[in-house]
Amino acid sequence: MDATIFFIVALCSQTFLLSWYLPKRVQARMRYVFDNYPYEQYPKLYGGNLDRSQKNYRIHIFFNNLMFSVGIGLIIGVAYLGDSLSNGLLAIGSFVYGMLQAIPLIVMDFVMMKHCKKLRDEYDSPQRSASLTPRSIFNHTSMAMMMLVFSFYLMASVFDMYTKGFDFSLGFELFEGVAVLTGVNMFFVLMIRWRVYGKKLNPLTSPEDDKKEIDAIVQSTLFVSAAASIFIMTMRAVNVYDLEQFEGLLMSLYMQAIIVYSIIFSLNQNKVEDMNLEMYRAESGSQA
Amino acid sequence: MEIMIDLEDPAPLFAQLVTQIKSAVQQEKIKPGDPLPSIRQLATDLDINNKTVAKAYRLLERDAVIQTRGYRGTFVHPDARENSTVDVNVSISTTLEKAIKSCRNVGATDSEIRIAFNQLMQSNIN
Repeated sequence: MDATIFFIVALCSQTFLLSWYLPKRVQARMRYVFDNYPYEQYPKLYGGNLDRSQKNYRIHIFFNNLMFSVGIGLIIGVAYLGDSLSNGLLAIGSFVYGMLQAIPLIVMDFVMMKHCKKLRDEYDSPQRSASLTPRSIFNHTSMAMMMLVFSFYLMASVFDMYTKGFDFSLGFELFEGVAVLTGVNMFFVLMIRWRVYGKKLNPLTSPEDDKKEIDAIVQSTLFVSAAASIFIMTMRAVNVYDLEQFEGLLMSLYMQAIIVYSIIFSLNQNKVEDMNLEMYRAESGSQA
Repeated sequence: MEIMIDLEDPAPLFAQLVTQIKSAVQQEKIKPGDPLPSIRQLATDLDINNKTVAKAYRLLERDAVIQTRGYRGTFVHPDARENSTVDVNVSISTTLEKAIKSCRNVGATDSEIRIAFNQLMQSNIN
């Protein structure tokens, strides 16, 4: 029963943070742009379509309210059904719910990418400039942080195999956890590489704002990588020490940690009030 | 330090890059020992082909304006400032001018000079 109570508390926190608090902060940011950078003066900020931007804003509010209601429903359901729900179902439930809560964030990223592509096509100038300073991942994070994240990865890999007794007769099963963790980290490496060394996504963003944005992506990706390693270790410990009743709780805490940290870090790092959005003015030329 | 290229400029892109980097060295915007971006980074940022940047870097390396230190990357050459004032094109023009004059002095026609020049270039390439 204790584990169920803990799970309900975690689910309340997951519902409040991911479907109420974070969306409110994102919506406040959108409203700030609507109020301070009106479409008439800054049409490039809206991709030349105010109606679509306002519609996206309304969809964002609706979907998050819907997810908040789903969360309340889940909390009531878990409280009502109590211990009759299996640990596996609770873990999968909180994971699926977390993924659903992340949908607006994923959609926002896609919309932003599409907007940036449109801007790149629109402001493709024959005059192009580039910095003569080499870029490096260490412009965005420290060597110590990289080593720390890598050591978490090593610890999680070794711990996972240790709990399986380094039994090579298990074949791939011995390396299953390591393979998943390596795959996830490879994806993160590619993502960071693409953003640090790749093409500038938004041709109108100033170099300072672009650097801040990459800083936030690198830092939050490193955090998510470390969190994934810790999560794998914790889940293995839960399995080994027969603490399966806490699986759902841990899954919920993990989802909250990675989403909340990534988004809050990004929102704090790139405060809209500090951004230079003057290049989006109607009469302003391309700075590509 | 930023460089700028113009796709509509009649000068080839690699030549624009060479000129801009030499100019940056002469104006001391980049100094001997300073690291330069990789070929891929510069090509990506300028949205041009890697081979164009590679060609520019090759010419700058030939003129000892930049130097490649293996996996560590590309750096401004210690003697870059002096070397960036030397223009190989001027030297080529002077040498060819002298050769053409002496060919004409022995009575060769322009078309004979052109054929001989082309044949020599072909034989050197092959």
